[in-house]
Amino acid sequence: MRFRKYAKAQVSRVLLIGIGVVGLAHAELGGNINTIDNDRARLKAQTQAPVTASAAYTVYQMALPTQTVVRQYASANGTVFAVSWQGPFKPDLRQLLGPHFDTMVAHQSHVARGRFNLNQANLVIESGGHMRNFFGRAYLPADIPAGVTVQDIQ
Amino acid sequence: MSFERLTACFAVACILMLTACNGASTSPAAESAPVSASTTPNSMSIVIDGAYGSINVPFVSVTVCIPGSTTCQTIDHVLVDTASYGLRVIGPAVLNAEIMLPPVQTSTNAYLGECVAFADGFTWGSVHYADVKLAGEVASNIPIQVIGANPGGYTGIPTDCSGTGAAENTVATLGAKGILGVGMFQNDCEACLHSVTPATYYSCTASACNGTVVTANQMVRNPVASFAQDNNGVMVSFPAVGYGGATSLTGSLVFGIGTQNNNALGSSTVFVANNQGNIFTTYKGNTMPAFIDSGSNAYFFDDSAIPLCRLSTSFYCPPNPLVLTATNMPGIGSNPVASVTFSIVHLDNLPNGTSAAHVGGPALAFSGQTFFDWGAPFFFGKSVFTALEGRATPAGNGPYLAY
Repeated sequence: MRFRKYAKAQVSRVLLIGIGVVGLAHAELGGNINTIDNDRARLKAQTQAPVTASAAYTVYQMALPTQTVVRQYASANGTVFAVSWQGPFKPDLRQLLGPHFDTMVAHQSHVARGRFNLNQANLVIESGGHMRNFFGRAYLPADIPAGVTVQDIQ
Repeated sequence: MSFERLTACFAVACILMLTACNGASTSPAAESAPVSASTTPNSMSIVIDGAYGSINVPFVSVTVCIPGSTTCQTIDHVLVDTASYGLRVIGPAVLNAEIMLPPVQTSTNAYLGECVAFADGFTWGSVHYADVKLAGEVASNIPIQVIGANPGGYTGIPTDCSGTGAAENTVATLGAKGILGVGMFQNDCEACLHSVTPATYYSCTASACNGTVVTANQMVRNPVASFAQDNNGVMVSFPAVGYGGATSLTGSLVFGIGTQNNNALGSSTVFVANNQGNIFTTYKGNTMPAFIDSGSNAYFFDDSAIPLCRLSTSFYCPPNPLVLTATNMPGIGSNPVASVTFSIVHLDNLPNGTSAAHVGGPALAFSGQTFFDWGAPFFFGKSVFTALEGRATPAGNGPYLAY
């Protein structure tokens, strides 16, 4: 399938490393990735080994029981600067977006029907798709590490 | 058909023309296919009238009845959605008090609740049995979602449900009195037949809702799949719309594919869909998953060369109408590969009161290519067929999209 092929190509250019830390807070957007185990527990997800895409950031991928795939992007200092999702069901965005979830809800309307787009200087959230297949991502433009572009957030 | 000719076409004339074309060009395959013919009235009007303030939202009137009774209500302004499955109507302030639809029970004292996520929010409510009447067709005693009703008297919303986005449980927040999902699949949550799935079905009492699996008889389902005839899919047709848009537009929702002389595939191109309900589209060299969705009110796709609107910032505003080309392919297999031309106009410059126009917007803005959403404008000037999974049609079994 074309889409899977594209995702595989992305993974193949990165280096695999291991990690094993536990914390109390959430590894939500803007939070610290060291607490990702809490997300995994709350979302009952299976995590893959994180992939360090460059010196600037690492990608943590979770497969939820619904088969939806969530990726969290952490900078070298551990800050989660982006999250993306793709799969048959929308994930729990309150868990993944943290305080930014309320901003998303506050800006939702049916003016653009079939997709959601929030494009602020300090927060971008995009959601689209349909029953059986949802896509989306959110990121904090100010926290994107130098040398990384929004095109890297897939 | 050239765009210039389409712009000169009035709404009623176009409907008549489309019907005539479909009737006149029945293919030989239709005559030999294992499809049951029908004479049941199978066509109803779809209006795009700008109700609730959104552009390009197609509405129909749906009649729901207490099962087996003549106690019925016709609900106007129900959104026609070719990318979801099942009927959802808002309860409070929409359903009349006498429409006491029997609730779907999960045990003696527990009732079925449902959460449904959409790209832009979620609906929450209870599940009830109803007879659903559309044109002359009847889906008897099928589960529907009554949005905003409290399953088992539970007045909250489960946190995993509300965690999917904003609530769209009122007419004002949904922008419609309901959603009629007539897409390519029968069930609205196939996975829920086998495992408890977050933010889908719940067994509810007044004090709590807990996630649950459901049986096929409890699950909200596409009404078309339950019709006695004309039950293999639908055809959605709209007249053409010019660059200047239209203040209102009337099209048709026709049940069945190749079952009557008003729903023949004719020379339509068939694109088999995959299990996600997607086909593939190539645009400017990038190939991505794509879907044809009457419930999306624009073409949503990525092209950073097209400027965004200053006012309606979720949409594109090219200075002059853009004529663009893409290529569509099936979700499974590699043929056919068919070029498709579409246009995008400047949304902010459309006159006040415009309810239908060729508008577009970004999908995942400025990213790599992620998906192509062929929304409501795709239906202007054509007939689009959605064939139900596993149902025989003159072009083989669904799921497929054809136009």
